[in-house]
Amino acid sequence: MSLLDKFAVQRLRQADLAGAGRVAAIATPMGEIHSATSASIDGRRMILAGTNNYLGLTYDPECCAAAISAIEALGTGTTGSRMASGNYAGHRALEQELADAFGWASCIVFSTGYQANLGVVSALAGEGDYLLIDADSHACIHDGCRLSDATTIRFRHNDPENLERRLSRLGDEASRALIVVESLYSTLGDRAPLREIVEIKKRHGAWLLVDEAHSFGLFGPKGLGLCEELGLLDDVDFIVGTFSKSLGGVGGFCIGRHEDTELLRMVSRPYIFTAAPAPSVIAATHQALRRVLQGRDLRSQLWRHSERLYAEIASLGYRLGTTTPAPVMALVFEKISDAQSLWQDLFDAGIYTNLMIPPATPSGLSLVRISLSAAHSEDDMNHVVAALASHARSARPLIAA
Amino acid sequence: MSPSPNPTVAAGGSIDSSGLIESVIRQALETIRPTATGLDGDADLAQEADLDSAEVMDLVMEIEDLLDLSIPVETTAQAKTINELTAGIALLKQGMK
Repeated sequence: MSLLDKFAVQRLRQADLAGAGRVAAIATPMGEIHSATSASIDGRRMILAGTNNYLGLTYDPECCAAAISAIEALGTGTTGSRMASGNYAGHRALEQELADAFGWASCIVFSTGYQANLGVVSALAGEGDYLLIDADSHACIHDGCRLSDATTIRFRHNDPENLERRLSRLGDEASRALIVVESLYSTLGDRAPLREIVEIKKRHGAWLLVDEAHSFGLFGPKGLGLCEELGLLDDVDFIVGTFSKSLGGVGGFCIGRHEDTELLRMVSRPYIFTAAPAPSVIAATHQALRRVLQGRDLRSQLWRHSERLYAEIASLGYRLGTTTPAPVMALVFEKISDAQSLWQDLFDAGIYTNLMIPPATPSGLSLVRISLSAAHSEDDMNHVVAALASHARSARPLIAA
Repeated sequence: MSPSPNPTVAAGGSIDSSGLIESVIRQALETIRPTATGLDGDADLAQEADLDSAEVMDLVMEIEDLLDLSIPVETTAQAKTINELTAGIALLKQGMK
């Protein structure tokens, strides 16, 4: 067997995608991008309803202006790690503003959201420590565990009792355990039982990291996420987030309640051995953060859209991934072909969504995932609802289950 | 990466033998993939039982519940067959004594 022979399955799948004669649902080739909610695909103008661009800030005039002036003042790239020549004032200022918003001791910015979890999980937990992670964690959490020398133990998805049993088995060693959960899981749109998890964490003297990738900017009085909304900021130790969803940039961050969080800079390989984000990205993200902290108008608009679509989808008879409305929602199917059929019908109606199939999904389910944006217009929303209704009429027997 | 000392499991020493671990794995398969409970011990779980990577994780969590034992990801990461799973878990339990 030769080096590349192991990709036989992938080769087959790639041929399937190419041979279908249609625009592929995976790695869909985007053409011209018109706005936060509109792009041309295959020459057709489409509504984007699968981009996690929750607040629509990618085209915010002030964010764009901040990025442009940063390029003019500081150039296109840093060409250096934060531990070398890439430690710019803008990066430090963004960290300070994030830490201040939470009232916590420290914030560290990473070059991507993926690297934030990779860098924090692997650096916090070392040899002799324990990582207790939700079984449905995002790949970057699983990969952070692989990069760490700690012992990784999974617990059942959103099951506090299952987590507690694993902590109990650790006994006194629980003080060396870091629990890692996401506040909002983006495959099904369901939320972690954070109050219960916090109680268990306190009872066993363990540590808690919450990934707010899909909730930062959307929840809480200041928009800081679900932990803020639930009043849990005094009980969580670390919060990880991303710049590439509600903030419309790229990058990630970790905010720590403890001053020693700063020490992660000295040991986190994904932080040290990569270039610092481009000044333009930092400037646009900082402006987007100010916009989030400024007021609730954008997230209120997003929640109006989300609650409406959630109710419409449920009344059309589709099965949803969760009972609690969220700006990211999953229409769930047992069969891959049923999910593909909905994805294709929506695409033909001019709406781009996400198709997700096993093993990238929990419990062998297939999903069409819709994520909404504050920048969607009422017309956009009406169009999405109409397309879902039309598919429901033609596929009634399939979705009635 | 030594597993933690575990009083609960160490006390329940009657499930230590490989034969018992294997029967628990087959019991867990009953939940995840009932058609595969009689699978040969050396058969590849992914190919012969058609388990994808997520389903193998589900299988391990079933085993954890049945044995009342936390099985670190690292213990089973390389295991592809029932026999390899059995060996990994037996080693883990040995390390706890």
